[in-house]
Amino acid sequence: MNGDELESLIHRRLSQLPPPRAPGTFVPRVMARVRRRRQSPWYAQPWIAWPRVWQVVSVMLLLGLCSMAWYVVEGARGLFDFYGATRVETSVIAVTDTVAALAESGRILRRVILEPIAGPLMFVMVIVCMASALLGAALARLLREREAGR
Amino acid sequence: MNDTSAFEAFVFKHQDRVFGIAVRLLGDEAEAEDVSQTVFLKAFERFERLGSNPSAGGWLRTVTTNLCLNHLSRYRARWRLFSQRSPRGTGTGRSYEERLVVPESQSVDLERAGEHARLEQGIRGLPPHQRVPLVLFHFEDKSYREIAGILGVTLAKVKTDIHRGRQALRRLMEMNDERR
Repeated sequence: MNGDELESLIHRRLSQLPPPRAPGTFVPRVMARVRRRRQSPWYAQPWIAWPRVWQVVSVMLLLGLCSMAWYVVEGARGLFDFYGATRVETSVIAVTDTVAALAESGRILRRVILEPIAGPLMFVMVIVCMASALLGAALARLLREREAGR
Repeated sequence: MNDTSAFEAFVFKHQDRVFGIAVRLLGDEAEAEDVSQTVFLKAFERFERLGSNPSAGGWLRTVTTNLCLNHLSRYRARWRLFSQRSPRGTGTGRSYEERLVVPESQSVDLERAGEHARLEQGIRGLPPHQRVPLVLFHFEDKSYREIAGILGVTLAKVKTDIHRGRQALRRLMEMNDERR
């Protein structure tokens, strides 16, 4: 049987299938959820179900926040222009100096404290990783066997 | 008729259509019921516009399909895990045909329910990557290209998966014919 014949055979058989029927308890369950939702306060409901006034207010509030964010960004840009780039450059140099000093301290600490114990630490990490992998494999096998036993 | 009772009538009218799409796409009745309830809650939020709209059926169809696909994509990582553990992508370690062979006691019930029930069971038993495109093609009248777009996969993959799904269903139909 070629692909087209198979397609038409399956299509014919599937189109004869009656639609699956919803369980008898379906409508009461939906209605119970609808009632629960109706009883919840408007702000706990999806935005689309909010009263029209609050929808409008929320949109205006959002627009207000966006404009405020826009003004903040514009204000920051204005401040930058006012103080001039040189001041900013000075602060950037101060920050990079601090970062360099911190990095140097870290290097010294590593040489004094970490390097002597690096070997044993690495060994312990490898052992822990292998033990975790073995435990994971054992659990997966147990799960497979349990599912096969069902 | 107030809003709630009108909506109840609306749910009653469309419940089989919505549940039918969901159960075929998801292959699980409990999950299908959850998704169908969510569809109707969404419909309730828009009931003022939807209630008397002749295109309500189409709206329900689209929303159900989308929610089912969202639901499935949320669990896609889990499918992958199962499909790695089982060559047929079902997680049970049994083949498609083996999973469809039911114990004698249930088999009698299924005999009564007839061939349709077995075929329906067969669709639900397909792995999701075959069942979803097959259902979209044969029940939702989507073209291969549309399905590839909806699922975000290549056209070739859609065709291969649907073909494999059809072959599995044909084997099931042959098993049914032999049993008679």
